[in-house]
Amino acid sequence: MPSSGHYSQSALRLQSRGAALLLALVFMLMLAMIAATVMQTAILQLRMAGNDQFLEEVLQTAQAIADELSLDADNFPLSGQVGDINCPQHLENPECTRTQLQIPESADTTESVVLQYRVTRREPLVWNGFPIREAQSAVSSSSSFDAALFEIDVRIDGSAARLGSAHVIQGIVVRVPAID
Amino acid sequence: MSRSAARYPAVALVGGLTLVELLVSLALGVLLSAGMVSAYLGAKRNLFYEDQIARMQENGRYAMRLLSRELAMSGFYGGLPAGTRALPVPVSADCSAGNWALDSSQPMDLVNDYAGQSPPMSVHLVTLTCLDHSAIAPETDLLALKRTAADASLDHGVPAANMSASTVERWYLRADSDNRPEWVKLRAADLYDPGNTLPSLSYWEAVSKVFFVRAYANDKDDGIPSLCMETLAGAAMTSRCLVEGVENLQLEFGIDADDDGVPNQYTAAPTATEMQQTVAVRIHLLLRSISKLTGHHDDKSYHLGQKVLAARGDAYLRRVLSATVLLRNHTAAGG
Repeated sequence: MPSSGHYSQSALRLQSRGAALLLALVFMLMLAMIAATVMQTAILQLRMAGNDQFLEEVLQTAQAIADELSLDADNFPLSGQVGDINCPQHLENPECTRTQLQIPESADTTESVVLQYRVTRREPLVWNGFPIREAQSAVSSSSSFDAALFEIDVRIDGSAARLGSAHVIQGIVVRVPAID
Repeated sequence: MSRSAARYPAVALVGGLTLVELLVSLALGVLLSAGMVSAYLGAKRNLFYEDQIARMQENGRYAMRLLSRELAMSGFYGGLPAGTRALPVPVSADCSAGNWALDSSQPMDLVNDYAGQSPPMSVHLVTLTCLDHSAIAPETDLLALKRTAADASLDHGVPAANMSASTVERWYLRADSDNRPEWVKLRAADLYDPGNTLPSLSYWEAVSKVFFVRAYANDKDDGIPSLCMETLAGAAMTSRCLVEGVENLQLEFGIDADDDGVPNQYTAAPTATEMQQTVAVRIHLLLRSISKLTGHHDDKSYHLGQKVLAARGDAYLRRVLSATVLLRNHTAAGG
């Protein structure tokens, strides 16, 4: 008899321990579900912030490339026609009239991000009396100068890597002595 | 084991719990489940908090990107330098007298800390009558920006690749290499006309916007502050709300007094001359959560640049976002 009583007692203890485990598991599940939702929100936030950061970076990179190209006068040859396209060195593309652009130091992007830049001559061939903005100290009569117009076009496209893209166009005015 | 246990084994099994034992186990059970419930409620509150912050940050990022882009592009008129631009013409439901919407002479304008009551008056002394001024949140800045679209709808006779043949009338800047540019009202479908697809012609869509903060989003009573704009949509100015949860907008203007392209000082209240010399703008946004957070008390004061907003003492979450934007298109050659 005592042996059977002992057996039943331990069975009871076993049963009650099982209920606690079950209850704990249910609560854990609820907490885990909440934690999973928080994680999901956080991961989504991280991705969105990352994409924003990429967009900002490529925009700044594109701007830097345009600025760097604009510093070298050789990138804007005055010989040639409206619509002439100056491409980066060693680029084979039938659209290009020249391939003389120095590769800018800022042109450092990761793989799967496509970077394209070019300089296009814009109309008119010579703009007579272009109003040139000058510092007060260096002011001169704009009528004694003509201008040639160029456009730097920089595109960075990360859509192959499911990232954003940037497109910057910067106009360049090259001052040329007036021919009267 | 007592004697009764040996005699009545069944009773002994049940009778193991005395009243004291029962009370103690009950108390322990209540304590334990209270702990678990509070852990659960804490996690749930945390989830709501995280969710509100995530929404707020998403709204903030979007608003910031929108304003940054609009500011950086303001003053862009199809690449035409100032002095060679089109003369303004009347637009229906225009914002102010003098053909405001298509006047390219002042592409950026500001109403600093709108005082309420009357129609807002800008730094360039323009009274913005197109806005429902009773809806504008007081003590916020209004920003007016004008430009054309970044890409031409018709570039030297070639229509843009993704352009629809829409029959809605819109305003376009017609840049003609032989004549002075002018503003024309057209349907996008008209751009395919043989008379327009000439290599000398380019068409750029007009963009004129006034950004302001409104005290409500959809209904007058919903109490959700939003970033709205009055914009040239189609042929007339109309009101649109873009971002919920923007409570305040403050701007500071980087003024370049010595013409070297670098701002010498930032001011929140520029004069008309200083607006013309602006080369950079700092944007400060105060974001507010959409819903109240139970148990939260916002007792912080917020600094939006030079402006300090006193603590509200309510149950909303708030964040301040700031960014600096270079105005690449504002001061064109000859400007």
